[in-house]
Amino acid sequence: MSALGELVHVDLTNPALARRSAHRRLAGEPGVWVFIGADMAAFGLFFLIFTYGRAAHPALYEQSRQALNPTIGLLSTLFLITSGWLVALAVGAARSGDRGPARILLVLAMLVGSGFAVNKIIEYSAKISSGITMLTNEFFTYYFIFTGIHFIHFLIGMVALAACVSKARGEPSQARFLTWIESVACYWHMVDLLWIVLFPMLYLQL
Amino acid sequence: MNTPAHPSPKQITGVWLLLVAATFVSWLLIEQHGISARIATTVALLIAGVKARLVLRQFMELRTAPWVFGALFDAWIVVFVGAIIAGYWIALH
Repeated sequence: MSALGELVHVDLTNPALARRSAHRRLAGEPGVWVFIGADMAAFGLFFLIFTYGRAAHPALYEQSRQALNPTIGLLSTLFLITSGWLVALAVGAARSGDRGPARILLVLAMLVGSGFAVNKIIEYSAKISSGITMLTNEFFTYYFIFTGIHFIHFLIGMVALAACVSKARGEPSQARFLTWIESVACYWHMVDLLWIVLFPMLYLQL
Repeated sequence: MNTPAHPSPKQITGVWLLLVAATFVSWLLIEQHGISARIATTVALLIAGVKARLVLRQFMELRTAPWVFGALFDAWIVVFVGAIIAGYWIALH
């Protein structure tokens, strides 16, 4: 019933939006999915490289892993998941035409997301101050490269969220605003899902 | 019309609660010393695969995207999470 109600409602207000929901479709701009596909393929390759290295030197990887702090990893995951939830709610609000609440939810998502950045800074500085760098061994080379590239994706996502916050006020076309927020949301969820796999892989124990 | 609907705020929040619960379970598995580390690690990786699929289907809305995209990203999870688990077990021997 609610699906039908939504269709009828959309039909009455905007035919372009009705077409959007009348078919199975990818959320956001198709071009964003090209980036998502390429990034996920790259991280897939990272996972294979790490797995291959670990199979060759299990003892080294196990010993190195013990220098990581699982509680920081847990908090990082919770920050990203919660930020993703707020962005998903923002997309819902934007679809109902509630730009104000969408804007607030996006700002909250950025605030919660910045907890991830704080965690990363604490984690990296703790490693460096205890003398662990990219050059320490193969495990830490991969650790810094993979989490570092992931962190760059995170930063791009934060900038994209900020752009969406400004679009919520400045973009007059509802259809264009929806394309914006859906695209940014999909990218942001990808940052979350890559971390979801990266985190347990780094903490593999013998 | 059997057009798939967008997720409601209630559904979105339900997915978030599931993801949070799964995250705590994985963390307890990594931190605990009761059951075998091999089983705990394998289960934590399987949970990661399920979480990744939840994010893809519910938050990235592949649930309502053309089927082929859902299939492609499911294949991504199976191949790469599968490779990590397989590599983990190979390294044990």
